Amino acid sequence: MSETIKSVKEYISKEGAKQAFKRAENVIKTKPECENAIITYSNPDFSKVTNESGKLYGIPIVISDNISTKDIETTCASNILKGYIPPYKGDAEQKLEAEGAVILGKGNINEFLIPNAPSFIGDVKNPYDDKYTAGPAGGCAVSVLAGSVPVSVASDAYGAVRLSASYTGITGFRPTYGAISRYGLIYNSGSTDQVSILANKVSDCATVANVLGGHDKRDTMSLLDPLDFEKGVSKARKKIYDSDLLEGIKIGIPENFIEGADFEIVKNFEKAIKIFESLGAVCETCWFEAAEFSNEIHEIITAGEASAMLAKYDGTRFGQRIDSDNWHEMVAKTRTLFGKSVQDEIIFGTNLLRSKQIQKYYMKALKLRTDLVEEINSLFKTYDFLISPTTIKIPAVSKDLENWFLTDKSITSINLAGLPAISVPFKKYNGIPTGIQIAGNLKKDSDVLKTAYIFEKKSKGEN
Amino acid sequence: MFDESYVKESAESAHIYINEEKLGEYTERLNERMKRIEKVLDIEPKTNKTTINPSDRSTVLREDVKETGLTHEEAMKNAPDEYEGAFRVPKII
Amino acid sequence: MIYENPDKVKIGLEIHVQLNKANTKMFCGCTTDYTESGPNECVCPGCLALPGVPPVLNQSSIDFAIRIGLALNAKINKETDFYLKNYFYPDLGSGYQTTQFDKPIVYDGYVLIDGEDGLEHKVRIRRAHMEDDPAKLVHFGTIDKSTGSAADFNRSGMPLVEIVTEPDMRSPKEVRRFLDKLRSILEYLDVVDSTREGSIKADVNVSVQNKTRVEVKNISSHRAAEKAAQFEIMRQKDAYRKGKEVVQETRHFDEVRNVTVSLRAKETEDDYRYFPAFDLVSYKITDKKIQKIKDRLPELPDAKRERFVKQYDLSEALAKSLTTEKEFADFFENAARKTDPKMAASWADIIRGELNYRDLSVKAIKTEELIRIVELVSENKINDVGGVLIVRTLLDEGGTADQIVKAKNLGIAEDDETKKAAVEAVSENPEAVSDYLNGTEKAINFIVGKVMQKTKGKADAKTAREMVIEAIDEKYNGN
Ligand SMILES: [Zn+2]
Repeated sequence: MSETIKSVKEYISKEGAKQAFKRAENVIKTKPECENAIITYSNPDFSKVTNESGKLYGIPIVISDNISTKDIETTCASNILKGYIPPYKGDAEQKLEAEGAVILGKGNINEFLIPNAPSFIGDVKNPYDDKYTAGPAGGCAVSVLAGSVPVSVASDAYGAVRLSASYTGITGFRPTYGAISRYGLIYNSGSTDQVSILANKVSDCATVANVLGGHDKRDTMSLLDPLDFEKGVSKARKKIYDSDLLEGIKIGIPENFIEGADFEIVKNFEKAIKIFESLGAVCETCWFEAAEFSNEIHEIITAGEASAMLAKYDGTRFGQRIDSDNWHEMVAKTRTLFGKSVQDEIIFGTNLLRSKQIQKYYMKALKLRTDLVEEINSLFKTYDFLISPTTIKIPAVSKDLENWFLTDKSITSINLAGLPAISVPFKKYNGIPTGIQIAGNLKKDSDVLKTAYIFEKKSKGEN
Repeated sequence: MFDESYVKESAESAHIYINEEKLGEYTERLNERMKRIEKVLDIEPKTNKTTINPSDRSTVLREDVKETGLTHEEAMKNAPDEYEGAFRVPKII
Repeated sequence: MIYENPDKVKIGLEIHVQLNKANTKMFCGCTTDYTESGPNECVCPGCLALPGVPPVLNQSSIDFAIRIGLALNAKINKETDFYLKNYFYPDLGSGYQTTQFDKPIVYDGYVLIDGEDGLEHKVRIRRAHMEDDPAKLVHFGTIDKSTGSAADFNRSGMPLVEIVTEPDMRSPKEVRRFLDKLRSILEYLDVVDSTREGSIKADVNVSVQNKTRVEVKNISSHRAAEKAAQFEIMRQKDAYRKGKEVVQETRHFDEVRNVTVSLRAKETEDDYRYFPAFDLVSYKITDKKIQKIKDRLPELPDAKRERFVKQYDLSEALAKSLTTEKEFADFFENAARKTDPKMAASWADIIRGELNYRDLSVKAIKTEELIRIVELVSENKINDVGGVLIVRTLLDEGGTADQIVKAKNLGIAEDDETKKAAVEAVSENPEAVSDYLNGTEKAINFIVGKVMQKTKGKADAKTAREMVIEAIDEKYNGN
């Protein structure tokens, strides 16, 4: 069912992978909205692109710069990793290549994806209004939007993929935690980050998710039974979906996801609800109590984890080093190569884990996370999906990114619970695209994708 | 409210060098950040059970079977400094 | 007699055991067998802490830890988890050590040792937890005047179990005995090859008179642990005698000078910011799993010793000596099955002494040789001296018992050869003879020694003695 990929593939079979690559590169290098989109271009060896029957044969793909790619510089958009050439392949790279895809380059992101940390090469501007950012995975999103590549593989830490998709009017899919291997994903927050996909179409997300999914024994969180993202729905459901309807599907609308939203955003969202209803779904507002503190616990947990995960950047084995005659001093100086916001994040997280603070904040957040997960379990006993605007805020002003913080309960609660969620483009606000988020229960990825596909089809032309 | 010495301690613990004159700014930003999360101080969790990860199963173990790692060359490829095949670092204390 | 422990010495140990008998490291598939490799040749992106590699826990590290727990008569936690311990050091690639916190896999056990008073003494085990080993640092220059270091990550990520005892040891000797016993148990369990450098390391906590507790680190041998405890007890007693206080601190053991030295006192207490390891959810251990491991547990030193005493009618001491090392116990037992067990035991013990003297393992000698020596002695083909000579030659030069008997002409001397030597010795040592005749019984031993010399040790000592007396009688009494 993948649409863009299919059309690109047809093109490739005539002209060859090399031409497709040249074309993709040309688009990204010449279109003005693609400025800063790529941090490092790859230099692919086309003699190795041989799997003509591969699902992604000859398809150029952008991988975000926080995913390890062998022999291609990987910086996480940070000065501290400048010049780092991974000596190993991440799982994403391995699987994409095995299906014949060609890596075009490394997509620009926020530094270590941290919400208010600009990339060291500069932010990617929003193509609809260059005053604003294209999002934390902006380089990946823009390369898809500009038509350079049909898909980009990135990660949804801090909602990066869904936010970037929403801001740029494309589709961003975050699978169930563990459904795609994290081997090679340079995460700060191991318990919330997840390899995710940006594409023009829902169907392309599903196709690529099927390439990337499956059990990987190198990731302890990898699901033991692979999900089928394209055909993983139950028989009863399949019948409904196949008629392009959502007859009898129950959708919950967490009232507090929309709290504080602008009138126009609410109005747009109501139009989306109408579409779901017109498809036969039963929509109902609900209250998601635990989401009331999901932003705070997400902020505490991700910062705590990040303070540990970012400790390896000590200038000893790889990456940049600022010399000093004492190792500890060398490390402290080297770590000033992190941007200001990353430094703040580390100090914030370090402070939360200090023995006098940990019970007050971090351990409490972990308990509140249990409350949140339990409430989600009960919500999904009533509803098949939760929908909301992907974000109720406009994107950060590019030059003011450092003062921006993630405050979308629709993002943070989903990440804490590891749920599958997709952002489908729907209408605009102030001239900038907005997205509708559809979230499902754990491992209901295929249902989320099908529902999004049906909504996408029905809402065509309403962007 | 944290004072500058607290922030300095935290930064030292995190091995991030802060210029003395910038310490005030860092302190201000950290305090703002703490304000943003102060809400959790007033909430009582319903449970004592912590959730450290969305995965609810028992840790998956790896079979004790050797796998090929990196060649020595690959391991040292990104080394900022090297001494006889090891990573050279300045004195530690 | 009950040991009174007049100075109220309390010693506790923290023992780091490297589970080097596992095939792979704790969180990656790299080999644990890197001793023959150059620096950074046994590493992967995981143990080198390159960005982007999640940890996957090695099954053996869990199994080995349970095995250790059961052998230490301890309880196994039904649900165990990991914490991250954060600190910066060049040997710690990730900037944190993955360790355990309030749910260690093993807790509440004990080990029995021979106490100061000769009675069985119980050393309680507080806990044992899993953690990973940091890399190895080589310092240029001395520790306090170092000009830099080099880090080799071959050791990084090695699985460790840290065993923590209660402060139940009352003397340095008990420390030594505990460590010897523990090593013996661990070797039996086949979880560690303790001959590998740094495979078992201990920190020693010492207090006297129920006062300040001092920790001594950097101890790499049992002897050093004993010495460190000795020095610390002396130092602390001395301080109190002089009316001084003992500072609560971590000290470093200087193995060359046998003293403990204070490490530069830190201004602030280390805050390791322990927090739950988010990549490793808790591990649930079923009774079934524990039972399975229990069923496969080998016979442990204490049980084997008791069995040897009963089955082979050996003394406690001999049985203990034979069972300290599993391989040695097997060496003995294989021989005991084919020949006289009591003789095999005493010859095995002689061999053990000779092996220790040469710092050799039991691999240096085959069970067949032990059996052959026992046969030769019991058939009176060689005497004890010859037997010992065979062992020594075998270890020093190689060969088989039979070859050595032949080459060195160790066959027991014929009676006329001994007789000839006795007559000669008597006539060559008139003074000793007259001492003997004047009632100094012992003088006879001197003459027998001469006979042994003349026969190159081949004479049977009892026969030689009889013949010397006979020769004296013939010569002086005209009988
Ligand atoms: Zn490794």
